[in-house]
Amino acid sequence: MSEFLRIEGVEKSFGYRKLLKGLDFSLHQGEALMLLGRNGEGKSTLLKIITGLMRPEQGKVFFKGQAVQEDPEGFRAAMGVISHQIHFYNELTATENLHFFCALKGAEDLKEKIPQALLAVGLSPFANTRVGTFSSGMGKRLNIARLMVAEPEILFLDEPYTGLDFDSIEFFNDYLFSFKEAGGTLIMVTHQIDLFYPLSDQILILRQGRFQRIDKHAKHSYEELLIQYQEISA
Amino acid sequence: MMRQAARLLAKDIKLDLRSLENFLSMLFFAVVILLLFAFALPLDDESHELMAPGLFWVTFLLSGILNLNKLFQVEKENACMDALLLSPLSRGSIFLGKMAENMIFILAMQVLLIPLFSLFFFEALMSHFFPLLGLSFVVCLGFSSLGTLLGGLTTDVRFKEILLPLLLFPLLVPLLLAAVILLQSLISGAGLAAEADWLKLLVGFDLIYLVVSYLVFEFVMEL
Repeated sequence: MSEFLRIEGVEKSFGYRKLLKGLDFSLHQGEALMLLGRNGEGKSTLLKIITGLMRPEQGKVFFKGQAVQEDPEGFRAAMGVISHQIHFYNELTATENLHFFCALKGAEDLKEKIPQALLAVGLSPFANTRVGTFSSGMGKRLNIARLMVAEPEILFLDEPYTGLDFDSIEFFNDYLFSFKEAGGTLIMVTHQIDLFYPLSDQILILRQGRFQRIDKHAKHSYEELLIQYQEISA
Repeated sequence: MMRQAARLLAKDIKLDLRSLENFLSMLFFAVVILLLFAFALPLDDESHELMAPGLFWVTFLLSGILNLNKLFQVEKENACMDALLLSPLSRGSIFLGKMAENMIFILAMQVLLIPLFSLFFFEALMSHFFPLLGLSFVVCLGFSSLGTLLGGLTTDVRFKEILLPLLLFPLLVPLLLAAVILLQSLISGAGLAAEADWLKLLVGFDLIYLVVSYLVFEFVMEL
């Protein structure tokens, strides 16, 4: 199987502090990577570098074998991002927001797809409601609707469980399972290890600017992973 | 790219028209400045004719900076700027969309400002309405190009309301000097063609600001 996403020698400093020290990893299509680490270790920074929100000092990101810098728009069209922010305009309605962002992604048949996606995430009654009135759970569901319409190939998730209640977490994880089953690739930064553990194929811990790898397949249980994580990040 | 910029522009206009907050604050601010000048300055026509060009562009500048300060504000809520940067939209399209939005609102304000200005200061200005609107367009192009770049640069800065004019005003000096001279020429009845060199200078600065801002904007967004 060919590499779907690869990062090579990524380095980033803030002032005199070298946060990321030559990071490498690769993912195949359909794989899920869980990125762990303490606060301030640079997990979100790494995600920003991979998604193109931040420039690395050194290193490159490759998508389907091609350097992302060669076709940044193509890479951004293929990816979806969910973070603790909802990334929608408060003054636009759910439908208007979806229409705007999905059109930017180049999605087609929006008039049919948007109502279907809103129905699937349970937001049909709020299709013409301004997003500013939504709870964070509703915002997250709307994000999932955006992904359903835009159909990304790879998902980047930065602390996506923040502010979600039990039902919303269950709904969100169901979506992630179906996304992965359909061949989607995922990278998640999270502190809620238990929620993403069943989905993940690779686990990387960012510690003092370098990766510590945990071979998930060699472990027998989630408890053992937790012990190993605590030892590495201590 | 133009299609993407047009999408962004349409979204911004929809948002602005929904609240009218930006436009009304800019317009009321301009009216207050005009009223203050009208009360503070001598009443004779000769003085007004002398001061009109300077006053007109000062009003333009001060109310225009209000709109610039708010240009990227809407993208800050819920980190929508990140969503734009994560979409296939090119950085150049974001620049063009935002610049066009700024130009449309400033020019709409100018359409209202010119009659008000002629009412308070110089009645004959109305007879130059269209040439003045054309001149406003050319000045606005340079102002919006540079303003959009610096507005993007200062979006996340804590004291951006102070920093933006500090960076912008000195760079606008050549543009404003040309604008004042050209308006003087217009008011005196000589027309814009009488000061063709200043007009060329104005257009030259417009082009430099537009091209440089467009090219630099990509790096500004990834700082």
